[in-house]
Amino acid sequence: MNENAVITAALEHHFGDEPILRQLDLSVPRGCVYGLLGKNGSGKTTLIRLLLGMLEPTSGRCEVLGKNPQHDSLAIRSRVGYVPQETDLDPSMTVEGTLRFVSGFYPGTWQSSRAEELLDRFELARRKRVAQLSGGQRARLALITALSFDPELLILDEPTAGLDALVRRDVIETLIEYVSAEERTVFLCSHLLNEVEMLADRVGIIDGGQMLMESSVDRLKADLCRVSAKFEAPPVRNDLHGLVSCRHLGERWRIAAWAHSESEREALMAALRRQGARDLSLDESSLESIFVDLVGRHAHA
Amino acid sequence: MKLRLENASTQPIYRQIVDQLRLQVARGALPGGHRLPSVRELALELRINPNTVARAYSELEREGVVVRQQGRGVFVKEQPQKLPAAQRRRVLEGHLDELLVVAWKLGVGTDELIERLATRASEFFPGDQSKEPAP
Repeated sequence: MNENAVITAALEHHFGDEPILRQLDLSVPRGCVYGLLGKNGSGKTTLIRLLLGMLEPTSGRCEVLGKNPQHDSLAIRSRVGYVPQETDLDPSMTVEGTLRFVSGFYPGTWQSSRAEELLDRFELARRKRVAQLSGGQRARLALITALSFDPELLILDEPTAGLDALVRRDVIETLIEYVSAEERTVFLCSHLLNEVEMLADRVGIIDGGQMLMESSVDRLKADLCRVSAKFEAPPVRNDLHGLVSCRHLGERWRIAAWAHSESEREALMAALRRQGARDLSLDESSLESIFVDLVGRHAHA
Repeated sequence: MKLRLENASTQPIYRQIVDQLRLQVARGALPGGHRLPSVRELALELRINPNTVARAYSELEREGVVVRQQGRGVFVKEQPQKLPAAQRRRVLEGHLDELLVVAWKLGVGTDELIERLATRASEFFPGDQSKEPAP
């Protein structure tokens, strides 16, 4: 069996003349929680649509659970749970009617008991119409439809965006339970970097339709050295090997640079000292701060 | 069992779990035979990826801090009975040599090292007389 749940290679998608995704390589190992990060408009939703066979790539290749989404879209959809950013549930249907309708797409795999259990846990009224549900209730219902056929892969596009803390807790706990089972894979896009940081094994950061980097969260934190210091004159960037960002904030400079080993780290520190760095200190390294360094100061995840 | 995880730390989350649990076992806060929460329970409690918890438990198992009993869970390992004096000295000497090398590299003198060790030990086992060596 293929070790990756999702692979793309040199994947391109153009909208007219405009490239939305460019030469995108990505791999999501089975059993992992993968967080895709990027600014609005960086191509995340387009990528998901390509993975589900809802769009055709302009060129390049993608594979989901060992199948080609353009040829085997139905086979893929029967094994992949998908929670879109905006739920596409029919507002005139009731909660139980929605589940009955959706279950028809999963003959043999739909587990009514699982759906019932989640309905109870999320305290959703079975007779209510979708139109009467709050945003948070709709998000919970969408999650039930995506999980009740025990998919091998769960794809979520901003699953907790705009939801209150209680709904977010429900979603996160449900995701944790889902990945506790063997070989269950989650692919999610989220703006909430603190959540991604706690949940993801691996992250990909895309910008302008290109993959800036793909790495485990631990590796990313270990490899990006973030320091701040005072300088008399602005630091000379060319002298700083692996520099990612160098910004003036108040009276200090914040510097982020790749340092893949202890000796590279020492070399960076030495270079900074040579340039007259005073009061040099190591900065915190949350995923959010790393994201801002990599994608630029105007980024909002 | 209380764990405090920090997002902003440069330490990976699994490392934070390993370090904190190892410390709690060393301090006796988690006694031998104590059952740790399951991977799923701890992941839900901390709201983190179960893979991260599983990785931390595997590391602790490798270090001999916990044992996994098939179908029953993960338990704090009973600390072994004291080794014979000669063996004890030999094991300890290896670790002392490592410490001395680090101190030498950092230019920390023997007196300062001994003082630091005493201070650290009193922080490490606060008010816990049971960890004092028997006379």
